[in-house]
Amino acid sequence: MRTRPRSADGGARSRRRQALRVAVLAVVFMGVPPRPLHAQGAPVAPAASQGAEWLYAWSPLAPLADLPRTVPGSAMAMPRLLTMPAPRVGLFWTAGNPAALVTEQGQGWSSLEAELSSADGDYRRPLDAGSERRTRALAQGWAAAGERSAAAGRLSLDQRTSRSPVHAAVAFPFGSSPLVIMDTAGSAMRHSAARVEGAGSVNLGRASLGAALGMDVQESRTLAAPVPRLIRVAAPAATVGVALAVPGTDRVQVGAHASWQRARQSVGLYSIGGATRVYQLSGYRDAPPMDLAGAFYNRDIQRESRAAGIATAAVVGGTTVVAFGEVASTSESHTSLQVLDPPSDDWSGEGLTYGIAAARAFLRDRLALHGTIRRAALEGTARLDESGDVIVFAAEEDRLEALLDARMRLHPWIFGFRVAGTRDMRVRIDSVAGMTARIESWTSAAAAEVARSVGTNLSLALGLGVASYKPAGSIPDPRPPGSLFLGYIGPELAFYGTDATAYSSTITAAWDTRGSATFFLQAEMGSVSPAGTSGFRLGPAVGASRTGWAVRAGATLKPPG
Amino acid sequence: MMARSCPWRSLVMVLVAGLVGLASAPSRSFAQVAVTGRVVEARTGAPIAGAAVSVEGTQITVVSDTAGRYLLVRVPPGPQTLRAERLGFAVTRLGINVPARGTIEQVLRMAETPLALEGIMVTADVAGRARGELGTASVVGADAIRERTAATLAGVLELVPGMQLQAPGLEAIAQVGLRSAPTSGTTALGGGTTAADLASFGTLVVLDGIPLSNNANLQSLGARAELTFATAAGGGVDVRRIPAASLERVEVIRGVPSARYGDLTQGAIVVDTRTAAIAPEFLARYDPRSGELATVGGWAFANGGQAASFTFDAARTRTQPGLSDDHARRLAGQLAHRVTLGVQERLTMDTRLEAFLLDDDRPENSNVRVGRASWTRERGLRLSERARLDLPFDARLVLTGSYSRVEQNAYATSPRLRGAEPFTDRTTEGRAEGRFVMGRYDAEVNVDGVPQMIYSRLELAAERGWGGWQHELRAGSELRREWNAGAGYQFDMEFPPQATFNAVQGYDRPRRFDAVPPLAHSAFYIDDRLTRTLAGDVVLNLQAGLRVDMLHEAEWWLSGARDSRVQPRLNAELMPLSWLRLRAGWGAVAKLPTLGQLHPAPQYHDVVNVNWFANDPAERLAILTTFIKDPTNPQLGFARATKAEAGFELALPDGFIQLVGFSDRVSGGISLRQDLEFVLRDRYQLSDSTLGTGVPPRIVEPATRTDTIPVLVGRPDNLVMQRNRGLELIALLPQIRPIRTRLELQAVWMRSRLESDGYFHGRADRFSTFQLNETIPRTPYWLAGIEEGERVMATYRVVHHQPSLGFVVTAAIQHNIHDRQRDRTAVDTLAFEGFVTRAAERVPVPPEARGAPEYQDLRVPRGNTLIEPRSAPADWLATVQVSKTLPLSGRLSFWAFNVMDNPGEYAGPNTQRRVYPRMRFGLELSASTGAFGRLLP
Repeated sequence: MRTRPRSADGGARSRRRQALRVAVLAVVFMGVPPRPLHAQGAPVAPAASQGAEWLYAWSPLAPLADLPRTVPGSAMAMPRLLTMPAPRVGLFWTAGNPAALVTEQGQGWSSLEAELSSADGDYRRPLDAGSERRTRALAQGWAAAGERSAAAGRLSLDQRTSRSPVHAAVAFPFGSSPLVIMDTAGSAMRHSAARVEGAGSVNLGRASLGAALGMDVQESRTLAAPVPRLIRVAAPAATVGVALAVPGTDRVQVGAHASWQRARQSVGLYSIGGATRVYQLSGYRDAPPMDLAGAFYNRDIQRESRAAGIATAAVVGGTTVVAFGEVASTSESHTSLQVLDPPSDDWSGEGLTYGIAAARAFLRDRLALHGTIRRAALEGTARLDESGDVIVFAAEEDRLEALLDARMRLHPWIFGFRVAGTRDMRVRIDSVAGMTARIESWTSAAAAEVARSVGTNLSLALGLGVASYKPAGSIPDPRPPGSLFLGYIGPELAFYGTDATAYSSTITAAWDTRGSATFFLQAEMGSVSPAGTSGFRLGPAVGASRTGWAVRAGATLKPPG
Repeated sequence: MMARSCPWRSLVMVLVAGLVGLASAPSRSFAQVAVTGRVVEARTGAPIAGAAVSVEGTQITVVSDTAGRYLLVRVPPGPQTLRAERLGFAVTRLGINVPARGTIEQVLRMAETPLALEGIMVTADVAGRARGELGTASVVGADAIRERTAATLAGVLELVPGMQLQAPGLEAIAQVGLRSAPTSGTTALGGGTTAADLASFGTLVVLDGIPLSNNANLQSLGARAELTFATAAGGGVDVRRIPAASLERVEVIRGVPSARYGDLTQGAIVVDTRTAAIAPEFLARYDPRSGELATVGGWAFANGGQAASFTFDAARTRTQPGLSDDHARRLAGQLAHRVTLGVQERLTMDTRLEAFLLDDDRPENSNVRVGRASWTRERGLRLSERARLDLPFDARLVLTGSYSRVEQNAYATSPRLRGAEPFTDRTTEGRAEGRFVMGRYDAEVNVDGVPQMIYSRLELAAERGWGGWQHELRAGSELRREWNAGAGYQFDMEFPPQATFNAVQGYDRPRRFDAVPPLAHSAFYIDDRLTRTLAGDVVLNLQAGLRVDMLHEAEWWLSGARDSRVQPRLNAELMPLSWLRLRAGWGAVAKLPTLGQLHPAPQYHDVVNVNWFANDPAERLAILTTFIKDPTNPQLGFARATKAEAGFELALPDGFIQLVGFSDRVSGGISLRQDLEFVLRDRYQLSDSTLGTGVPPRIVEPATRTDTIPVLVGRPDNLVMQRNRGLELIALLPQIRPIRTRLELQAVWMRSRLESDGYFHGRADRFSTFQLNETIPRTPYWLAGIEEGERVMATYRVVHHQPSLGFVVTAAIQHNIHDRQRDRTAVDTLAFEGFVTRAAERVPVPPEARGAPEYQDLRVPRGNTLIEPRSAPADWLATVQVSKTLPLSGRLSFWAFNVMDNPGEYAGPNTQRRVYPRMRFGLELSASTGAFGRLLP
């Protein structure tokens, strides 16, 4: 067991700093909602969902009972003053209950966006690609569909090309589950993903009913590799909900929703032009290798998740407040043999998410404040086919996130400011190897963006963001370490055990046609690098960094009339 | 079978007499049903002037006035589809139920995009009729075609009952067969003919009024080839050449077609491409494997007297991305011009020039297929002209002519490894000294053909009331000549690409296709569709026709008939109530043989007389005698079939139910009959055979003995019978208004039976051993087997439509309920029918004698058949498509095929595995410039 080095009086000072951070977090910050599944790569520039987390809260495809491990210190997203509406709060926008869309949709909005981005550098996890280029198209919006119904929808197409070798042979190697497949013949890959999701709700007087359906499909394949690799994912999801206006007042709504997701992932490795060694990771110990030469390897991964949640929204003294809670469970099975009723390796998790959000406008709507605090906790266990009912891996994970978003209009200026913090606690125990990793991390981030109208149609915006990642805890240090631990498992643990700092900046130009559309062009740059030395022998090298850029172009559309 | 007379003469007389009678008969009023109303803009309600309003499947067309008003008269009773078209607007189609008498009012709403219209039809229209047809048909209109994310015509045909769902792309040759279930393909019917080949071969595809033909496609390597490449020869037309983006309307006549359509046994697919004035539209489709760009546009000029249009499509599909560089690509385009001439614009001339390029490239993959590669390329050109002259008395004369030419090139290479085998390249009969082929070499083969066709149709059509019936009469003639040219089947004789290039199974020499005689075909037909309202407003529709097809003896149509077929056809429909239609049909149909079947390649048998292989090449000696067997069958004629169906249709207030039972019998389907013949093998003594002399030995004349080698000559013959029976159910349920969702169910039960009156001679290795070993006196033979296939499948389509949002979700679930294949052949060791002697005679053995000790050597397993029935487990496949309008008449669609990535069910103890193509997904973006036009002042 290896503990992260601290200074001589580090214990007491660290505890004080920790207490201070908790206090600050409890008051100010907010959590970032779960990101789309295909945003689990190693981006540097924030994903399109960041900065508009409220737009994704209703997504039926948001991970359930899963806390994906993101790149430490991903820079804070900008308020996106010129390309996104101001954040909203409500049963639909915060708790993700589709029934409330009809009562909370307000004025419709839609956008089309295309993004080209790139990231590369040596500050990365072993299963990350060294360099990636991404093309993405996104269309989303919501609108009334008649007098008593409304609909929202989103479609995104995402293509990533990793020119450097990728060793992960699954689409999501950084989830809570320790069951991951990798092979040593890393190859350049192209990942194509599409996600389509929609929500509709109908108002029936005091009650509203709603449903959201979504589908995530992905295909990843190697590019001209001696050991071709094909990975496919098909993941449908659904959420149904009901919302009720509390009798006697129009200011209080209560709602309940239930979600279901199913993901089927098939992994194929074909050693037709070379050899490779496949590992089915299940924790921190060296998994037995499977040597493939002139053979095929196929693995089927099926995941099913369910969730149920309740929420209430109230308008109190001009402030909209939403409190929400959700319990979720997930089970995942990995099977290899193509026979009836094959044995499987299994992962199961139970999750709890709850939080509160509030929004209020001041100064005749010139100043808008929006804040959210969200906590997500998860417990999960893994069992292997050969281990029977014996738990081989257990995880306890806890994430507390907070965010405050403020934006102010002083014509011709608009100012936006976001501060966020995340406390992430992960205890992951490999009971077969007797190894435990305990990593507690703190991420604090801030971003500011200022926009100005230039003439009648043109607006320009400039934004800067910074984030800091500070971990503490201990990671296993087996003696002697196996080759798998040295090459893949240990470096990832050390990666999360190392301080990091990230910066980002954006520049945006928007052209309002004074008609039905606003066209925009946005460029974003970002970098993340370890802060100081790692302290772990397998940690990132001194001077390592990862940089990236993104260019987005698109249009936001106003509803007809 | 042979009909040397010309029965069309009497038919022509009947035809002429009928037309004269019709023209001279007084017209009587009939069915004064009128449909009137206004054409308005869907969102604003503003009137739309100049919209063409018509009743689909009829000639009834009017143009709305400045107030948007229209009036259609003499509309046939029953379910009909109104259609409104105007430049800049999406075509509006609206189903109505027309009573036997009276006037009905109907408002037609038009919008820029069909997604914004109520009642958009994104599935096949079962209530609609194929134009001029009374038989059961599925009509896929422009809206449904636009809503399909299909790369080819095959993708659009998914909307037809019995068709499998598929991802858009160009991966595999797409041949369409109607109303047949797959069979095992195991029982050696000869020549590799399968039920699927026969079904697709017998399905007629008509593109813009002119048949597409695969009859002159000779791009085949034959049964003796070791190398392979993708080819559509022997089956139906490869419809990958037809981009879905260019389609305007597809009619699939599943039932008995009218006498207008020939050269088919299964049904007809009538395809109209987009033409005339169309605001330019652009389409882009992308998925991780495929990309496609398409555009279409057209302009009217000269005060509307002329119109010109174009379509262009470029598509590419990688068939195994990540594993190989195999890919297919297509370029297709069409230019069209229409001009209206003459007094009162009576003459309309339509000219079209169509071109396409279709590549299927499978390059060498150094990891998997070392030294193996193949490609095929088709470059086609078709020029057609259709002249329509409107005559007095509601008559019209239509003359259609076309010339089409397709350059087909194919190449394959593969390494071969041979032991030392004697070999000759002699192309005439006789004995000659040969050489030895041995070791490893790269075999290569090129097949270059240029199938061409000239086609013409002259048709006179008239609509008259006569004898209390409303008649729609058509009479016409077709002339067709098909031939092939080009270098043909070519390879280096030193490096043979065939499995056994010597002796027993025959050998194919290089062959030029321009030496193959053309095929000449003519046909005459008369067809009358009669409508009458009986007592109690009961409406009776009849369609009676007679067609005569002739296959000519020589190269042109003036030569005598090699074979002819008289094909009566009758469809009847009774509508006792306005919402109920009872229908039945029966007809005879016929399909031409292909050029390859009429003129098969000669079969060469090179008998080895001396095989002296010494280490010193100079001392080797090979003597071979070449025999040439001509497999031509002068008796070969049309494949014949009868089609019968009966069913009913229920028109619901906002839906439709159709149930049809059918029974199709193909007799005289063409396959290879394995005729027994023999060749003589002379054996010689050698002199001067001492090794080390540096010279080969010499043979001593005369031959010391002669034995016979029985050989099988694959001769095309009308020996296959196929029977297809089934039920088709289509239920389009009313829309559930609160959730704006509609369900369509298509369920099909089909059973196919394929049999042959030929013989089966056992596994190839056993028969070849018998051929070469003169000590084996006989070998058993069997009757050809019977293959049966049964399929039950249901396709559920859920359509959710939000017109106000311009939003449509279509989810299709195809449930493969039952798939079973069975061979009805005796498989025990007493199943042999008799034996073949060395003199190439078949000697039958009575069943009661087959157990006798003297037949011990004949009691061997038959092989090549299913001993137990084979079935696949029930499973389902789901696809989904989401479409949303974009500004300026744009549309964005997301589609996912096999959205659950269902690989299929694993095999159980008594089942075969069901394999589904894996998940695919992509985007389609389309836009029209029509919206820009409306934005202009």
